[in-house]
Amino acid sequence: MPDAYRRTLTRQMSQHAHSEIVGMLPEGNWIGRAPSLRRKAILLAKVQDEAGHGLYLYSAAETLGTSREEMIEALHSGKAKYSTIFNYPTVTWADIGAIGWLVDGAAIMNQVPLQRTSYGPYARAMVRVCKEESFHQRQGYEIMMHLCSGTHEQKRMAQDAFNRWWWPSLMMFGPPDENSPNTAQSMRWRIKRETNDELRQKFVDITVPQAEAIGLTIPDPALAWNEAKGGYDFGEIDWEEFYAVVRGEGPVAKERMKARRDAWEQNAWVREAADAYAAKRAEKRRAA
Amino acid sequence: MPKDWPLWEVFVRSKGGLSHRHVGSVHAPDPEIALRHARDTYTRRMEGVSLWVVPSASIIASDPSEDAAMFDPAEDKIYRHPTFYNIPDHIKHI
Amino acid sequence: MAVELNLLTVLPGFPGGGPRVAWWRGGAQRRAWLLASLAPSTAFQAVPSPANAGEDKLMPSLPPIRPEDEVLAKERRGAGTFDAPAAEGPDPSLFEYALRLGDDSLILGQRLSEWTGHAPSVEVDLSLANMALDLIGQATHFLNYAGEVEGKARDGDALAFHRDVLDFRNCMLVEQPNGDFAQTMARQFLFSTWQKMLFQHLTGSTDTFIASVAAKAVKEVTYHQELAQEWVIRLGDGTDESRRRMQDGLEWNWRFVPELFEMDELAIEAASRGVAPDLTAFRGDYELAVRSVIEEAALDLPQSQRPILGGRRGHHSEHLGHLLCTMQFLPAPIRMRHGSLGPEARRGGASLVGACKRSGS
Ligand SMILES: [Fe+2]
Ligand SMILES: [Fe+2]
Ligand SMILES: [Fe+2]
Repeated sequence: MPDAYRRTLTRQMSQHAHSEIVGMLPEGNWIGRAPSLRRKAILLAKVQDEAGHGLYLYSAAETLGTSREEMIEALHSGKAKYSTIFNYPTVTWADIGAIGWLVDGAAIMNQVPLQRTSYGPYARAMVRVCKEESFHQRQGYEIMMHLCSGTHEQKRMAQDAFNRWWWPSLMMFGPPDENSPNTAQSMRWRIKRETNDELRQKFVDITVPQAEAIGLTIPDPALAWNEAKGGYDFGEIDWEEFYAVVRGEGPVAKERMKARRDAWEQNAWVREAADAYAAKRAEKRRAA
Repeated sequence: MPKDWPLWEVFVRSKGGLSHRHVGSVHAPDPEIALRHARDTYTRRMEGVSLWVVPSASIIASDPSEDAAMFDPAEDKIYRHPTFYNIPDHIKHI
Repeated sequence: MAVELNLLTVLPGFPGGGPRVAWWRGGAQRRAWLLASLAPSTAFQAVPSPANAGEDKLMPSLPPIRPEDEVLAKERRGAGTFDAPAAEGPDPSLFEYALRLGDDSLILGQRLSEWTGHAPSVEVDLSLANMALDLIGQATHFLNYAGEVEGKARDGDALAFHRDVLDFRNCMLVEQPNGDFAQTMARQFLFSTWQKMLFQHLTGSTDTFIASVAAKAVKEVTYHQELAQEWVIRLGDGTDESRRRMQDGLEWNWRFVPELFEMDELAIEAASRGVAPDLTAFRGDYELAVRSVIEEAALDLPQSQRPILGGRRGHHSEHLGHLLCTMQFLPAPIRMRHGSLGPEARRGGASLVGACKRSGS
């Protein structure tokens, strides 16, 4: 395996894994406050799935020789990146709908081609991930659907969440092709199958009718159907904001990193204790 | 640097009669917890009826750089395959 | 480890502890005894008599208590107190009993889900979420059933999200804060060991619905019990730090164990109808199970203390209110259509809209 290929793969898989794990936090913020027992169970199961996805991906990345410990260390030191979308706050219940629908929707679009990626363990992890993702987007859209057919307050909340999550969702496909340093090489290695802009266009074309169907307004005055290309034209993405969030200047970036570091460091004693117990037991067995 | 637990490979039997298949790995301090972690990670959707966990360090793998020496010699042993033999059509049950 | 694990003997007159055992076998007699022990009689005796009420110099701002007030108070004894049932209905005690089962699972599920995203490892995160999901599932069954039994068009959601502290019927153990991972596992171990034994008995309940839920749930809870037990042992017999934390976690939760075995009037009635087991039937098994794990974990058995009771009748710790603040955060207008709030809400929910002024943000 060429070294550059291994490095790129490890980077891509570990960043993907980190995104799943950090991605638990914005939605985790609402498990305790979900509006019904059914919603509580759904959201908890969904966030738990994301933990599972993180695990599948860490475990695939570990087959290339980098330990999870090293990957986590890279995340906590800021060396490794994760999806910028999770540095936005979830302020109302409607955000849970918007995230499932838009963020998981965009993620699925990014991930489906990866099931055929050239590295076996990554591809197999992605098959599993994609299978589990299928309910995530639907439960999010269902929340939005219910809110949009509800009271004035519910509709207002849904539109507000949609306004806030629309643009960050489009950013999830990464910088424009002319500005994406890794895309060409990754396509050649077949660890990426479609360009950022191609996927973004596909997402807009699929999502706009879904929004309109439940009476949401797309927060983009430039949005217009383009008959010639058979897709929507849409407004300029604020790439300044994107790069700022990549740099760690997202609204809740500090909260996210602190939560992850705290979970890891403040519970180090648990991991040590279990190791100590295992060592004691092994010692006893040797003595017996 | 806070440490992580050892790595275990996880194998799941999806239903009775099938063999266990490798599905991924978990970190765990010992065999019992490794089984629990495997169950809680890889069988949340009724994917399994039986689980194996094996310390990753115990797995001995063939060396990819020796693929040729390991596997190519089997290539020309075509007489190991039933289609190698010509039997007239009117001979049945063979 | 010479301390006797004697969870209940210190409760004055609590059945099952030594000499009181005899009480346990008498039917009407034990009922009368328990009624007497639970009635808030001393509170009423403390009311100053009319003769000296006017001369009460200590609290001059209080109006004097008139003879008719005292008569009224005597007549209404029990009504409006915490010992009164949370609702009338065709079968108030079955309603109450279903609430106890549902609230135990709901509150513990809520607590466990607080760990999501913050556990010691991603794998442990998944384990805790699995337990929470099991518990929320149980709560949904039991609370929906409670609503049905009550017959007032309340479903599980109405009960979970529209009751205040005084109407919750969970034991105080489950509402205890997570603390660190050791405290969470101590709580889980003490509770799941009990819940497993309870559900094993409930599979034979004369109430077929409760029996069927218990049959499914007992498998879930068996897993919780084993997982928690393994962690208690690892943390107890791990490092010095983990041992200290595990001991602290055990000490924190120990006070609330006797409540699990409390046979109050309602529990006695449920047992006499065969709906629920006599909790004392498996108290000995429980003590043995807990003691053997504590020993294996090289932990010390906490000292018995005077039991803390009240959760089953709505007298909770300070923690439950804060838990409800979170769980019931969303106002009814936002909660509507997200699952159901019962038929009246489904009809439009006019009475619920505007019931809460908080915005959803
Ligand atoms: Fe995911
Ligand atoms: Fe993902
Ligand atoms: Fe997802």
